Formats: sequence, C-alpha cells, structure tokens
Amino acid sequence: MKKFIALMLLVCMLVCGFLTACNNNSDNNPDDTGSQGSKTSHTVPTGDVTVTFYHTMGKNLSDVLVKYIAEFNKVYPNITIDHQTIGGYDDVRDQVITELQAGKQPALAYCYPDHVATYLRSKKVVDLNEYINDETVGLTQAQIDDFIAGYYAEGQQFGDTSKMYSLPFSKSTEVMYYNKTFFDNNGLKVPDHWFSASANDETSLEYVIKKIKEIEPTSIPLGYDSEANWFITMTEQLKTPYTQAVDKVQDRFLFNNEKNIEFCEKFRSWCQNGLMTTQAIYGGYTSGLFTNTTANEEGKVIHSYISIGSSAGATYQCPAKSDDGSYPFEVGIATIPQADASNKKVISQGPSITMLKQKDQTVNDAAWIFLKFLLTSPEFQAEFSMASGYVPVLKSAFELDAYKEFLSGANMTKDGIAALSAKICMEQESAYFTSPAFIGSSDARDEVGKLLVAYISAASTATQDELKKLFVDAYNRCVTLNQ
Amino acid sequence: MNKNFILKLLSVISAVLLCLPVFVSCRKEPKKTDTTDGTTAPTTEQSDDKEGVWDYTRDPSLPDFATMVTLNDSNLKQDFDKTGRGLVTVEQYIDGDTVHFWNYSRTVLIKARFVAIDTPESTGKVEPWGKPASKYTKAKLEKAAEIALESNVEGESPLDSTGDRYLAWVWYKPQGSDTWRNLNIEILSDGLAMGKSTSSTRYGTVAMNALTSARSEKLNMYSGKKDPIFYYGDTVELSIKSLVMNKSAYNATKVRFEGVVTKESGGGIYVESFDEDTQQKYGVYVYGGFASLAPKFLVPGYRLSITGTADDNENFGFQVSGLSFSLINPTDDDTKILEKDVVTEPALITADDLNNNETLENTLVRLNDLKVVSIYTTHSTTDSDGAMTLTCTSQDGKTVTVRTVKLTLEGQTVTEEYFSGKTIDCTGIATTFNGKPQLKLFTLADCIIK
Repeated sequence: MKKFIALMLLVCMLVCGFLTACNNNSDNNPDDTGSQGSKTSHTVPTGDVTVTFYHTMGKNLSDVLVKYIAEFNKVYPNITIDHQTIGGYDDVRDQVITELQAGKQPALAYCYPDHVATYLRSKKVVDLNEYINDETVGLTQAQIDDFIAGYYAEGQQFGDTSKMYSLPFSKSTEVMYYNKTFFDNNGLKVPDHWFSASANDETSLEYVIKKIKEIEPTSIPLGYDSEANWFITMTEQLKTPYTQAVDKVQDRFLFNNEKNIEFCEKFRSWCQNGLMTTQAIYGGYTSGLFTNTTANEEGKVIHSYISIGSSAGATYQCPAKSDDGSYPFEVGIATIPQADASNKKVISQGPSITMLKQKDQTVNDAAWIFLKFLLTSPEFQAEFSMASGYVPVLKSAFELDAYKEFLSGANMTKDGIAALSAKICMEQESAYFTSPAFIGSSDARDEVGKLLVAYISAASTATQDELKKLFVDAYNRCVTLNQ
Repeated sequence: MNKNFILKLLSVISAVLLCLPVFVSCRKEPKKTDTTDGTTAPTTEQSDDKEGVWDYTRDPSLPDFATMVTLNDSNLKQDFDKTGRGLVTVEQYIDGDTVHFWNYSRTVLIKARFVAIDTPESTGKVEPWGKPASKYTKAKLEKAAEIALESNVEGESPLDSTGDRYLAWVWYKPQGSDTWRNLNIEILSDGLAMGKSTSSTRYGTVAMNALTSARSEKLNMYSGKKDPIFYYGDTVELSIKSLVMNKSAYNATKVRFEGVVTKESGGGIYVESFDEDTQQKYGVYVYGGFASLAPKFLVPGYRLSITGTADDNENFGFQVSGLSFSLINPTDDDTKILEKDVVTEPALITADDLNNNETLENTLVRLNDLKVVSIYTTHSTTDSDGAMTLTCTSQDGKTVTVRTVKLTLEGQTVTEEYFSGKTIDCTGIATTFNGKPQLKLFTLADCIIK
C-alpha cells in the first residue's frame, strides 16, 4: 500500500508538474501552442545541426544503429546524430516528460502509444504528416505503401486520424513456445484455443496443461510472462470491454465487468491447481522456468512445458546448448491460443519513434531527414531485426536475400529460433491489435496486470466478494490517478 | 617588462596549464611497447594505469542526493534474503550495478542487482563508462564502515527478472560517519548510470532528480566526452599468439585476429591458431554474449576473423568480448566466417606440458594413458551440478587434473563409477582453475576408456 501511495504521488507530481510546465512554456513560446501548420514546407538543412535521439538499445543494437548513422553521415555530414540509451521504455518516457517541462526534450524518442498520448498534452509532438506529405522532403507513395499497414496505422490512433504522431520502428508480438520434445514423446497436440469445449478437447490449452500435470506432477505446465498482455488480449479475443478513449475519466476504464471476471476465475483455477504461473508469481521471466535444467535445493528440476512471451525474446526461450554440443530439448513455436477462431487477436508490441518540437525548426527538419533515412531503409530494418529478434516494419526488408537466408535458417534450436519466431510473428500479422491510447491508458494496463496476479494468486479461502473487490479497487485507482 | 607583457605571459601560462589535463585525457593513439614475443603492442591509458586515470571528484556545491533519502536503521541485524533488509558484507565486486554480498548470518550469498540504475557493462563485454562505474562502486563500498541492503518493496526481498539475482537498494556508512548514504542514487547523481524503471521505485522522486541533475550538469557519461579509460584507438590486427603472450599490453584494446573454433562453452568459444615460428598452437576464449546472430557464427570447425575487446577480467580471466555480427554489408569490425568444416587435431601433450607450459592454455590438447585415482563430483543448484574432477596419474607418475562438464550417456548422467579406477585417453581444452592447470572435457566422446 505504501508503495502504491508513493507511486501515485510520484505519478501525480510528474503529471501535474508536466502539465503546469507545458502551460508555462506555451505562454513563453507561441510556436508551442499548436501545429506547425500543414502548409509549412521543409528543407534539408545545409548548416551543422545536432539531432538528439533517445532509445533503449543495448550495445548489440546500438552497433547496428551506429553503422547506419555512419551511412547517413556520408550523405548528410552536417547532421550529427546524438543517440543516447536512456534505459528501458519507461525511463525514456520519464526522461522525456522531465525534459518537456524544461523545454529540453530530444528531437526523436522511442515511444509506445501510451507515451505519445501523454506527450500530446504538451502540444510539442510533431504531426509527422507535415513531413510525410511535404513535396520536398516527404515520402513517396511507394515508400508509404512499403510500411506494413497495421504498423503504420499505429501513429494515427490518437483521436484525429489526419494526424500522424509516430512512425513504426520495429515490432514484435506474443507467441507460444512449447517443449516439442516433450510434446512429441507424449503425443500431445499443440493447443490453438484456451478453454476445453469437452473433456477430450485435445487442442485446448486447458486440456493440454492438465495432461502435462498428469504426466509430470512436479511441473508447472504453463508460464505466461506478461500479465497485463494476457488480460488485455483476452478482452480483445472475447470482445469484452477494457478501456475507451473518452473525455470523462470515470468512463474510460471499462474492465470491471462480469465477462472479465469469468476468464480471471478460469485462470485462477489453473493457478490454484499448479497448472500455470506468471512472471510476477514466478519471480522472473517464465522463460527461466521453461529452459530450466538445474535442480532446486530439494534436488528437483521444475519445468514448464509451455511459455507464452515476446517473439523478440526467442533466444531466451531456447535452452542453452550443453557443453557436449546437444540441446536438452527442441523448442516449438506457435501462435498463442485464441478464444474465438473468427476473431483472432494478438497484441502488437515494439517501439515506434515520435518527433518532438525543437526551438529551432531546422533541428526537426534534420531529425526528419534522419528518420526517413532509417525507416525507409530495408537494409537497416532487416539488419536490426536479425540483431534484435524484432520483425521489420517494411515489406521490402523481407525481400532482401540476406533476410530470406536468415529466415531460411529457422529451426528449433538456438541457431534458428529467432528466425523461426519472426516467421510465426509474420503469420499472425492480420490478428495484431493495439489498445486505444489516451491519458490514463498506461495506468489501465498497469492495473489490469496487477489485478490478474492478485486475482489468480489470492488465497484459496478468498470469497467472491473479496475477489470482485480487486476489480473495483483497480478501477478506482485508475480513476484516482487520472482525476 | 611592462604590465601588458606580464599579463600576456600569465595568460599564456594559464592557458597551457588549463589545457594540460585536456591533452592528457584526450590522448587516444596508443603508445608502442615491447612485447614478450618480439612484436610491439599498444599501451593505452588502461595499461598505463589500470587502477585509474579516471579521477572524478564530485563538485561539493552540487546537491547531495544520496542523503536525501533515509534508511530506517533500526534492527538491521537480520538477513536481507528473508526480510528484505539487513547488514551485509561484500563477497565479490562484479560491476557498477552488481555486487555479491553475504547476508547478515553469512549463510546465503546474495547476488545483488542495484534497483533503479543500469551502469554500462564492464564484464563480459566492456562499454564506455563501464569501468569507471565499476571502480566507483568498488571504491565506495571498500571504504564503507557498514553496508546494508534494502528491498524495493517493504518486507520483501524480490528476485530480479532473471530469477537469480536480488534487486536491492544499497546503503553504506562511510568510515567515521553516522549517515547512511544511498549508493544507487549516488551513482545516478554522479552520471555513471542510466535509469532503470527509476521513477516507479521506492525512492523514485529523488532518484529521478539525481539522474536529471547528472544530465544537466553533464557529469561523466553525460558529459559528452569520451570515457578516459576506454580504448577508442584503432583496431590492432594480430595473431592469437601475440595476444595471449602479451595480455596486459593488450588489455582493453580492440583487437582483430583469425582462428579456428574448437569448442563452445558458457556462451563463448575457444579459438586457436597455429604459429609457424614456434610450431605450436595458441588459444583464447572468446565470449559471444546474447547476440541473436552469434550462434550462426560461433560454431566449432569455423575459421573466423574476430574483432573484439581484450579484457583481463578478475572474474572471468582473460577473454575477448564485444563481438558484432552482420549478415548485411558487414563492416571490418563484424565477425566473419572465413572457412567452414575445418578439422582441428588436438596436440598430443604430456602431463608436464599441461602442468608447466602456460602457452598451451585454451588450446585443444590430448593426453593419453591417464589412470584415474580419485573423483570429486560437484553437487550444486547450478549448471555445474554433476560435473566431476578426476585426479589422474600419467604413465610417468605425474598428477593431472581432468575436469568434466555434466556428462550424459543415453540420457543418463554419467557418475563416478564410469571413470573410477580406469585408464583413459582424453581430448579437451587446456585451462586453469584457481591458477591450477587442468584439462577440460566437454563430451563423453572426448574420453576413451582403455
């Protein structure tokens, strides 16, 4: 509770300070009060300009970025890209919010839709359509069409579809990893839906995890990494209310309903019977449980046999090669189970890039030239994908021989698991969804994640009223945080 | 001598004095130094002074964020792993944001990852500002009178996302002081770490302010300057022999060499190459890390061109790390496959060779007719569970240590009975453990029972 209050205070301070500062800055700088104007024509800067770019890349990915910055500088030696690894996605968000208050924000930043929704309150997010449609420096129709449509549309989901507040950088989704060796040895089928329609519904996840528990009672058959993703994905698959982007705060958070309680109840029974765990309950990424080959203090090796996690984390879902060169087991990858075959949904993840207004528009122009260079380069997209496990956002990247070769090496061991994951990820493309982004949407996401954990792991003696109160409390916190 | 002249002279002297530190800290080109194999190696800032050309003192006029939060120090004589708070003692310094401590009762080793911060890497692979961060943490805790850990959530001692390390706020009391200082926040405030979900932590507000201050004051990694103890010089192309014969000279240097991969182990590979002059092979361990393309390149039997940073690390020994890989337009710095399916024959050596010839380290060797006289099996909750140390005697009566990984035969773990009292021929990598030579076996096929 103390942590929650502290967190609430911190968020309130950040948001209040942020909004106050935004107003102050608007008073000081008339350019900050609105759009830069759709008729503005932009040019390629000719003088020396420095563009700051905040991201989360570790060294492996930074190396790829640096390589392409060098290529960029061969064409535009006057534009310096000051790229900085800030930390995780939340750290980028917090740093940008802090710097927006002081008017020192970077020109470019990694973002998720929730972040952009928050930044928009400052009126310092650049409508990229001004650049995209610019006759001099804009994108050609072919370049626009080269983006995978679903990813491109993410930048338009902020209430006014004529505005484009981000461009996709790289993407991932959730996939289901399973111990193929164990499945094959025990004649198990790969599940494609969650709940059993009958006692012998062999392709339901429910049937399979119960069967695994019968075969190996000490196992925890299923691990699901992101509780928030799980909750939100279920609401999409079941078409049950989650959130909506409306003005009235009380009406934005819709997740407290009987349908959602129903699936939580189901998962609760799985958890209580030792059939599943999640990252918060397990205390670490569940890939650790999936790939575990070492005994605990009691001498038992506890496994899971199914792990649902990010497609970009495929290499972590593959057990380490033994020193004798063999793998303890083969890993299969499949799409996540669905609730309704006619309404397949998987969550779309991965960073986009947003542009923030600078006092000197030349900096924004330079930032655009760099953004265009990076995001329309199939070579960069392919190379970044191969280094990261994320999938490219350009169709043309998939046509490169090197990327085709990469995908052709897809297999169920560490050598080819990233490629295999990318393939499965692409197969699910038509099922991708993103939730509405608005002020408070990230609170909703945080709260339903915690709610799911609290619900499924509550003591077996918990009453229905106590369990339902968890939903009420989560809703109340969302409202309080956003009033 | 008029006043103007004196003033001009003074200003020139001042300018020179002011510039002197800049010249010192900006020196990039490596000096040349003699090496034991007759070649020349670069001498970098690191090898000049491995314990620190980086010399940072915080401007006392800046706010002291480390004391803006307070530790409730009542009853700290408890185990952090059980209650989420307690006094600890250092077992091992790993890097800027990870230290291994013993809990209060010295019963549990706590691998503590500092909450809210992320320092650049300085082990496994080395990144700019990684070494300064590592030195900073060590310097603070070495001089501490007392150290305490505190969990991010009251009363809990949570594991981090790997499930192996504890997340902790690290507090220390400097010698002669009664004030507990928060090291996580201090590191942030001195610009030696990035944030890591900082704002949502227990001391999020102060920690964020510390980070913002470091950025605005342009301290250390936010200074826009190069890390003075990181090697930014040109890549040195050399042979494995030159590299391993001159470890200290090449420490922290970017190097490029060619060699054949003989074995995979622990996320890395053993690489070796033959030297015509000495008619001997030389080997080195190369850490591949978690790069998703690494498994495509680091394959036994491949002859590679490898570019990475040599690092003589107190935790992992001498190794090369920081490799990069590309399937599209690889640069000179990317790892390249020169040849596949290269067959490497192990060098047949004697017990004396293994025990006394350090130059064999990390190469593939073979020792025949070893009589197993005693066996120790490791029992632990780590990957080394089931690994064995075989103490053997050679035909000429010398003692040889053979270390196996956990070996399996038809799905079953191989036990001591398999080797007990037998005479064996072994092929493996010549390595050292705690300074003592040993032969490391990786598969059962590398060991023939006679």
